[in-house]
Amino acid sequence: MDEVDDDEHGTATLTLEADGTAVIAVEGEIDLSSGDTVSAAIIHAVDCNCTRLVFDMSEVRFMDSSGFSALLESRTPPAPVLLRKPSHAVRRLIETTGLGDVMQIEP
Amino acid sequence: MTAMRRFANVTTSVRLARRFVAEQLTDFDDVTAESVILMVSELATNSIRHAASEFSITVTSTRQHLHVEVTDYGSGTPVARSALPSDTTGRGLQIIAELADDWGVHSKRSGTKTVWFTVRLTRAGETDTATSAAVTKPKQTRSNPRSSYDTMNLRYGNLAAFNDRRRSFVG
Repeated sequence: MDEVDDDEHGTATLTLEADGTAVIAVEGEIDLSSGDTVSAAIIHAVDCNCTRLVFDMSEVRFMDSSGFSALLESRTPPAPVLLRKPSHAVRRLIETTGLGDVMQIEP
Repeated sequence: MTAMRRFANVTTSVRLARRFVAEQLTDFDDVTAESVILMVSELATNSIRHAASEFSITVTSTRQHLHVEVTDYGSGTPVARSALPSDTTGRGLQIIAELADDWGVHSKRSGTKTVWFTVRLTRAGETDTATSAAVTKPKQTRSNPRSSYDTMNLRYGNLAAFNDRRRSFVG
Protein backbone atom coordinates (compact mmCIF):
# COMPACT_ATOMS: atom_id res chain seq x y z
CA MET A 1 0.00 0.00 0.00
CA ASP A 2 1.07 3.55 -0.61
CA GLU A 3 1.84 5.69 2.37
CA VAL A 4 -0.54 8.54 2.99
CA ASP A 5 1.20 11.80 3.68
CA ASP A 6 0.25 13.06 7.14
CA ASP A 7 0.31 16.63 5.90
CA GLU A 8 -2.64 15.85 3.66
CA HIS A 9 -4.92 14.64 6.44
CA GLY A 10 -7.90 16.74 7.27
CA THR A 11 -7.69 18.61 10.54
CA ALA A 12 -10.17 20.47 12.71
CA THR A 13 -9.11 23.12 15.21
CA LEU A 14 -11.49 24.52 17.83
CA THR A 15 -11.18 28.14 18.94
CA LEU A 16 -13.45 30.05 21.32
CA GLU A 17 -14.08 33.67 20.47
CA ALA A 18 -14.83 36.39 23.03
CA ASP A 19 -18.50 36.62 22.06
CA GLY A 20 -19.05 32.96 22.92
CA THR A 21 -18.78 31.69 19.34
CA ALA A 22 -16.98 28.40 18.89
CA VAL A 23 -15.08 28.32 15.60
CA ILE A 24 -13.95 25.00 14.16
CA ALA A 25 -11.35 25.61 11.47
CA VAL A 26 -11.50 22.68 9.06
CA GLU A 27 -8.48 22.18 6.82
CA GLY A 28 -7.20 19.79 4.18
CA GLU A 29 -9.15 16.87 2.78
CA ILE A 30 -12.28 15.86 4.67
CA ASP A 31 -13.56 12.39 3.85
CA LEU A 32 -14.31 9.04 5.50
CA SER A 33 -10.91 8.90 7.17
CA SER A 34 -10.95 12.45 8.52
CA GLY A 35 -14.65 13.08 9.20
CA ASP A 36 -14.22 11.79 12.75
CA THR A 37 -11.67 14.54 13.36
CA VAL A 38 -14.38 17.08 12.66
CA SER A 39 -16.85 15.14 14.81
CA ALA A 40 -14.41 15.13 17.72
CA ALA A 41 -14.01 18.90 17.46
CA ILE A 42 -17.80 19.28 17.47
CA ILE A 43 -18.03 17.23 20.64
CA HIS A 44 -15.50 19.51 22.33
CA ALA A 45 -17.41 22.56 21.12
CA VAL A 46 -20.58 21.24 22.75
CA ASP A 47 -18.68 20.82 26.01
CA CYS A 48 -17.64 24.46 25.88
CA ASN A 49 -21.18 25.80 26.36
CA CYS A 50 -20.64 28.27 23.56
CA THR A 51 -23.52 30.31 22.21
CA ARG A 52 -23.09 29.27 18.59
CA LEU A 53 -20.89 27.16 16.35
CA VAL A 54 -19.27 28.26 13.09
CA PHE A 55 -17.12 26.20 10.73
CA ASP A 56 -14.27 28.07 9.06
CA MET A 57 -14.05 26.27 5.70
CA SER A 58 -11.53 28.52 3.96
CA GLU A 59 -8.75 25.91 3.98
CA VAL A 60 -10.72 22.87 2.87
CA ARG A 61 -9.06 21.51 -0.27
CA PHE A 62 -11.47 18.61 -0.73
CA MET A 63 -14.69 17.46 0.90
CA ASP A 64 -17.13 14.70 0.01
CA SER A 65 -20.49 13.69 1.49
CA SER A 66 -18.77 11.96 4.44
CA GLY A 67 -17.37 15.34 5.40
CA PHE A 68 -20.79 16.92 5.05
CA SER A 69 -22.26 14.20 7.25
CA ALA A 70 -19.93 15.23 10.05
CA LEU A 71 -21.03 18.86 9.77
CA LEU A 72 -24.72 17.97 9.53
CA GLU A 73 -24.47 15.92 12.74
CA SER A 74 -23.74 19.14 14.62
CA ARG A 75 -27.01 20.66 13.57
CA THR A 76 -30.24 21.03 15.52
CA PRO A 77 -32.89 21.35 12.78
CA PRO A 78 -34.18 23.74 11.60
CA ALA A 79 -31.07 25.74 12.50
CA PRO A 80 -28.57 25.75 9.61
CA VAL A 81 -24.91 24.80 9.76
CA LEU A 82 -22.99 28.08 9.74
CA LEU A 83 -19.97 28.28 7.46
CA ARG A 84 -17.26 30.94 7.32
CA LYS A 85 -15.41 31.60 4.05
CA PRO A 86 -16.25 28.31 2.30
CA SER A 87 -13.56 27.29 -0.19
CA HIS A 88 -14.25 26.46 -3.82
CA ALA A 89 -14.48 22.73 -3.01
CA VAL A 90 -17.04 23.36 -0.29
CA ARG A 91 -19.15 25.71 -2.39
CA ARG A 92 -19.18 23.22 -5.24
CA LEU A 93 -20.33 20.40 -2.93
CA ILE A 94 -23.12 22.60 -1.56
CA GLU A 95 -24.27 23.28 -5.12
CA THR A 96 -24.08 19.62 -6.13
CA THR A 97 -26.03 18.40 -3.11
CA GLY A 98 -28.54 21.26 -3.12
CA LEU A 99 -27.91 21.90 0.55
CA GLY A 100 -27.76 25.68 0.32
CA ASP A 101 -30.59 26.10 2.82
CA VAL A 102 -28.92 23.84 5.38
CA MET A 103 -25.31 24.95 4.88
CA GLN A 104 -25.40 28.72 5.19
CA ILE A 105 -22.62 31.24 5.03
CA GLU A 106 -22.27 33.12 8.29
CA PRO A 107 -24.10 36.46 8.18
CA MET B 1 -6.22 4.15 -22.29
CA THR B 2 -7.14 1.97 -19.33
CA ALA B 3 -5.67 1.98 -15.82
CA MET B 4 -6.68 -0.32 -12.96
CA ARG B 5 -5.69 -0.43 -9.34
CA ARG B 6 -6.81 -2.30 -6.21
CA PHE B 7 -7.26 -0.74 -2.80
CA ALA B 8 -7.38 -2.23 0.69
CA ASN B 9 -10.43 -2.10 2.94
CA VAL B 10 -9.17 0.80 5.05
CA THR B 11 -10.51 4.34 5.24
CA THR B 12 -7.29 5.89 3.97
CA SER B 13 -7.90 4.08 0.66
CA VAL B 14 -10.48 6.73 -0.16
CA ARG B 15 -7.76 9.36 -0.43
CA LEU B 16 -5.48 7.02 -2.36
CA ALA B 17 -8.32 6.32 -4.77
CA ARG B 18 -8.67 10.06 -5.40
CA ARG B 19 -4.92 10.33 -6.02
CA PHE B 20 -4.99 7.42 -8.45
CA VAL B 21 -7.83 8.86 -10.48
CA ALA B 22 -6.36 12.37 -10.41
CA GLU B 23 -3.23 10.93 -12.01
CA GLN B 24 -5.36 9.76 -14.94
CA LEU B 25 -6.95 13.19 -15.40
CA THR B 26 -3.96 15.44 -15.80
CA ASP B 27 -4.93 16.75 -19.23
CA PHE B 28 -8.62 17.25 -18.50
CA ASP B 29 -10.30 20.49 -17.52
CA ASP B 30 -10.58 21.31 -13.81
CA VAL B 31 -14.36 21.09 -13.59
CA THR B 32 -14.39 17.59 -15.07
CA ALA B 33 -11.48 16.47 -12.91
CA GLU B 34 -13.09 17.81 -9.74
CA SER B 35 -16.36 16.06 -10.53
CA VAL B 36 -14.68 12.74 -11.29
CA ILE B 37 -12.53 12.90 -8.16
CA LEU B 38 -15.58 13.65 -6.00
CA MET B 39 -17.54 10.77 -7.54
CA VAL B 40 -14.65 8.35 -7.03
CA SER B 41 -14.38 9.47 -3.42
CA GLU B 42 -18.07 8.72 -2.90
CA LEU B 43 -17.87 5.26 -4.50
CA ALA B 44 -14.69 4.29 -2.66
CA THR B 45 -16.39 5.38 0.56
CA ASN B 46 -19.38 3.17 -0.22
CA SER B 47 -17.14 0.16 -0.86
CA ILE B 48 -15.54 0.51 2.55
CA ARG B 49 -18.49 1.73 4.55
CA HIS B 50 -21.29 -0.40 3.10
CA ALA B 51 -19.59 -3.37 1.47
CA ALA B 52 -16.72 -3.48 4.01
CA SER B 53 -14.64 -4.70 1.13
CA GLU B 54 -11.43 -4.12 -0.72
CA PHE B 55 -12.15 -2.56 -4.07
CA SER B 56 -10.65 -1.91 -7.47
CA ILE B 57 -10.95 1.08 -9.74
CA THR B 58 -10.72 0.97 -13.51
CA VAL B 59 -10.43 4.19 -15.48
CA THR B 60 -10.89 4.06 -19.24
CA SER B 61 -10.57 7.20 -21.29
CA THR B 62 -11.25 7.77 -24.94
CA ARG B 63 -11.05 11.04 -26.78
CA GLN B 64 -14.59 11.93 -25.83
CA HIS B 65 -15.44 9.96 -22.71
CA LEU B 66 -14.13 8.88 -19.36
CA HIS B 67 -15.53 5.66 -17.93
CA VAL B 68 -14.85 4.72 -14.32
CA GLU B 69 -15.73 1.45 -12.58
CA VAL B 70 -15.47 0.77 -8.87
CA THR B 71 -15.78 -2.93 -8.05
CA ASP B 72 -16.08 -4.49 -4.60
CA TYR B 73 -17.28 -7.73 -3.01
CA GLY B 74 -20.37 -6.33 -1.35
CA SER B 75 -23.82 -7.79 -1.78
CA GLY B 76 -26.97 -5.82 -2.41
CA THR B 77 -27.68 -3.23 -5.03
CA PRO B 78 -26.86 0.34 -4.12
CA VAL B 79 -29.31 2.83 -5.57
CA ALA B 80 -29.48 6.58 -5.17
CA ARG B 81 -32.10 8.00 -2.89
CA SER B 82 -33.29 11.54 -2.51
CA ALA B 83 -31.87 12.54 0.83
CA LEU B 84 -33.92 15.12 2.68
CA PRO B 85 -32.21 18.30 3.87
CA SER B 86 -32.53 16.91 7.40
CA ASP B 87 -30.73 13.66 6.53
CA THR B 88 -27.11 13.56 7.56
CA THR B 89 -26.18 10.73 5.18
CA GLY B 90 -27.27 9.08 1.94
CA ARG B 91 -25.95 11.56 -0.60
CA GLY B 92 -23.16 9.55 -2.21
CA LEU B 93 -25.03 8.12 -5.18
CA GLN B 94 -27.15 11.24 -5.39
CA ILE B 95 -23.91 13.07 -6.19
CA ILE B 96 -23.07 10.50 -8.90
CA ALA B 97 -26.53 10.91 -10.42
CA GLU B 98 -26.07 14.68 -10.41
CA LEU B 99 -22.57 14.84 -11.90
CA ALA B 100 -22.28 11.83 -14.22
CA ASP B 101 -23.66 11.75 -17.74
CA ASP B 102 -24.56 8.12 -17.19
CA TRP B 103 -24.11 5.62 -14.39
CA GLY B 104 -25.30 2.28 -13.15
CA VAL B 105 -24.66 -0.86 -11.14
CA HIS B 106 -24.11 -4.46 -12.09
CA SER B 107 -23.42 -7.57 -10.06
CA LYS B 108 -21.73 -10.76 -11.13
CA ARG B 109 -22.33 -14.31 -9.97
CA SER B 110 -18.78 -14.36 -8.73
CA GLY B 111 -19.94 -12.02 -5.97
CA THR B 112 -18.53 -8.75 -7.19
CA LYS B 113 -20.53 -5.57 -7.56
CA THR B 114 -19.54 -2.76 -9.90
CA VAL B 115 -20.78 0.80 -9.81
CA TRP B 116 -19.78 2.67 -12.97
CA PHE B 117 -20.16 6.15 -14.35
CA THR B 118 -19.33 7.93 -17.57
CA VAL B 119 -18.62 11.60 -18.23
CA ARG B 120 -18.21 13.36 -21.52
CA LEU B 121 -14.87 15.04 -21.73
CA THR B 122 -13.61 18.41 -22.72
CA ARG B 123 -9.86 18.17 -22.66
CA ALA B 124 -7.99 21.31 -21.74
CA GLY B 125 -7.67 23.53 -24.80
CA GLU B 126 -10.26 21.69 -26.86
CA THR B 127 -13.91 22.18 -27.56
CA ASP B 128 -16.27 19.30 -26.96
CA THR B 129 -16.62 17.45 -30.25
CA ALA B 130 -18.06 14.29 -28.77
CA THR B 131 -20.20 12.24 -31.08
CA SER B 132 -22.35 9.45 -29.79
CA ALA B 133 -21.40 7.23 -32.72
CA ALA B 134 -17.95 6.75 -31.24
CA VAL B 135 -19.29 5.38 -28.01
CA THR B 136 -20.46 1.91 -27.13
CA LYS B 137 -22.91 2.28 -24.31
CA PRO B 138 -22.30 0.00 -21.35
CA LYS B 139 -24.75 -2.89 -21.21
CA GLN B 140 -25.47 -2.61 -17.52
CA THR B 141 -28.89 -1.61 -16.35
CA ARG B 142 -29.26 1.86 -15.05
CA SER B 143 -30.27 2.23 -11.45
CA ASN B 144 -33.57 3.71 -10.48
CA PRO B 145 -32.69 6.91 -8.65
CA ARG B 146 -36.05 6.96 -6.89
CA SER B 147 -35.52 3.71 -5.00
CA SER B 148 -34.47 3.57 -1.41
CA TYR B 149 -31.06 2.65 -0.12
CA ASP B 150 -32.49 0.54 2.64
CA THR B 151 -29.99 -2.29 2.62
CA MET B 152 -27.11 0.03 3.31
CA ASN B 153 -27.88 2.34 6.15
CA LEU B 154 -24.93 4.10 7.66
CA ARG B 155 -23.99 3.80 11.28
CA TYR B 156 -22.16 6.20 13.47
CA GLY B 157 -20.58 3.70 15.83
CA ASN B 158 -18.88 5.35 18.74
CA LEU B 159 -20.33 8.74 17.91
CA ALA B 160 -23.86 7.63 18.66
CA ALA B 161 -23.26 8.12 22.37
CA PHE B 162 -22.69 11.80 21.80
CA ASN B 163 -25.79 12.47 19.73
CA ASP B 164 -28.00 13.50 22.63
CA ARG B 165 -25.54 16.05 23.84
CA ARG B 166 -25.11 17.43 20.38
CA ARG B 167 -28.84 17.67 19.82
CA SER B 168 -29.08 19.90 22.86
CA PHE B 169 -26.64 22.27 21.25
CA VAL B 170 -28.15 25.56 20.18
CA GLY B 171 -26.67 26.20 16.77
